[in-house]
Amino acid sequence: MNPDVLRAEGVCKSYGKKEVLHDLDLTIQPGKIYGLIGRNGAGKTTLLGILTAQNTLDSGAVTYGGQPVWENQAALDHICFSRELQPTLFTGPNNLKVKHYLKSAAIYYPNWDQEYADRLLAGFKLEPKKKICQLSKGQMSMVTILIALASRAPITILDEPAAGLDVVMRERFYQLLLEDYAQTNRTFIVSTHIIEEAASVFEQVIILDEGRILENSPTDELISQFHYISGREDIVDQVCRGLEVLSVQQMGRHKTAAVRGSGVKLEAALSADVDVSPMNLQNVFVALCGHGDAQ
Amino acid sequence: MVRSLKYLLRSAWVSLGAMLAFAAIVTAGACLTGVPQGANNIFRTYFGCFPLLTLLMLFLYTYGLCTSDLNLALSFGARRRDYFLALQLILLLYAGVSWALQTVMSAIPDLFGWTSVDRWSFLMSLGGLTNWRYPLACLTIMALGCLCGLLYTRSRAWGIVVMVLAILGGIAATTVLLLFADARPGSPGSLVAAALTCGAVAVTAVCELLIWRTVNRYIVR
Repeated sequence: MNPDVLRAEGVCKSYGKKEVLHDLDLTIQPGKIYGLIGRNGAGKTTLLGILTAQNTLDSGAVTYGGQPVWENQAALDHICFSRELQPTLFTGPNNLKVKHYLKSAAIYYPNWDQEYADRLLAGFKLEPKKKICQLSKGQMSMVTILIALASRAPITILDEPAAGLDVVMRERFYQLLLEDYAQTNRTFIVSTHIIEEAASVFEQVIILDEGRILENSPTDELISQFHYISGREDIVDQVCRGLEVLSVQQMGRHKTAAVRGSGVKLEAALSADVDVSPMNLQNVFVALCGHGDAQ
Repeated sequence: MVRSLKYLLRSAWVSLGAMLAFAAIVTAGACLTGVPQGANNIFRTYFGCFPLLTLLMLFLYTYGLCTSDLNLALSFGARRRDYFLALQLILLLYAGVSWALQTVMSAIPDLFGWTSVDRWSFLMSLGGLTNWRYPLACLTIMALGCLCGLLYTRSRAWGIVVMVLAILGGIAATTVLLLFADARPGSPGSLVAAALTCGAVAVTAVCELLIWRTVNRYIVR
């Protein structure tokens, strides 16, 4: 067994009567950038919390290198889950200062890179003496990113790191992520709703829907299976036989079907009198998780 | 556990520093406003009530230890067991410093020949290195503070209930210490004091058990 594999097996989690994760299996291989995408309430943060022992599970197991993660300092030392910061904290505003977060992170993360943290702090123009509640949403995301990158943890997890960042800062974040990845080859798991922008960064994509993992595949491989087929209704229907039709849009006699399939069936479609166009990751996500809401 | 202790000590020094600074300000204020000569003013009240104020400060400090501090430590990968053990050492540190501070504060009027007033006897009854009931009261109120913080993160109503009970308990504990500090062995007063001391020990033990159970299942937010 690879010592650096993070694995979840048969994980179930409920909040009261609401089951959030259902018998979930997941393997995180080392040295990859994973994108975790899912709709609001799909269970992304709960899953990440359970993978990092920040949340409890009802049944199942989470292991790192074959050893349980729960209360295992050796495993926890290899994992950083940099969560979204909250402007309020339990009883009132989050009055903790940026420097308090950074100093605390430096205590707990054994590979903490102070020099890198200082560089990022200056690069992001963050004031260490500012309170978290005084920061903008984007600045809070910067603190999250800073902690994640400077932790130098072999498995680094970011929850919604791009939330609130402007487009320039988002580009900067993807650039930093790729630079760090090229340098350290550590594993990143990035949960995001800004799918298309981040798609090119993800080597592997995990799609979570209603507490179940729908996909955990290399991004290119996944996208290549999905196409739009559009044309005259009868021809589209004929071509789509044998393919998995995920959604359909119709305007008069013109029909567009989002399909999943490859090989001979798709070859047949390509030679028919219809338009076949590829999907991007966002379209794939909508086709798989839209449940008709997008139409 | 060392990391959790380092983490908690960072804010503990600040909290203890604030407590010592407050004691210094109250004492200096009392001296400058003629309290040693019998003046009756706000500094005299603060000086006389210092044991209660210390308990209140301890409650607030420990409340934070089991809300934002706990959440942040676990989000950075602290083990729950380590945090709990480090928390116990911090509680002992707080209790020890509060005890020492109370000893010094209660000795000041005698050492410097302040005019004796009733309040000093109240203060004296709580101070002194031989009065181990004061650190016990500190530990009880801190355990309640921790539990209150933990409950508040789960249910605001329960948190408020425990907070009110803790404040009332703190006042009651101090009053009991005041009433029975000079009780002779075998007298009814000493029996009541002994029963209440046992009660404080029991409350502390139950709180610690509940704190451990809650920390062990704590979900980072």
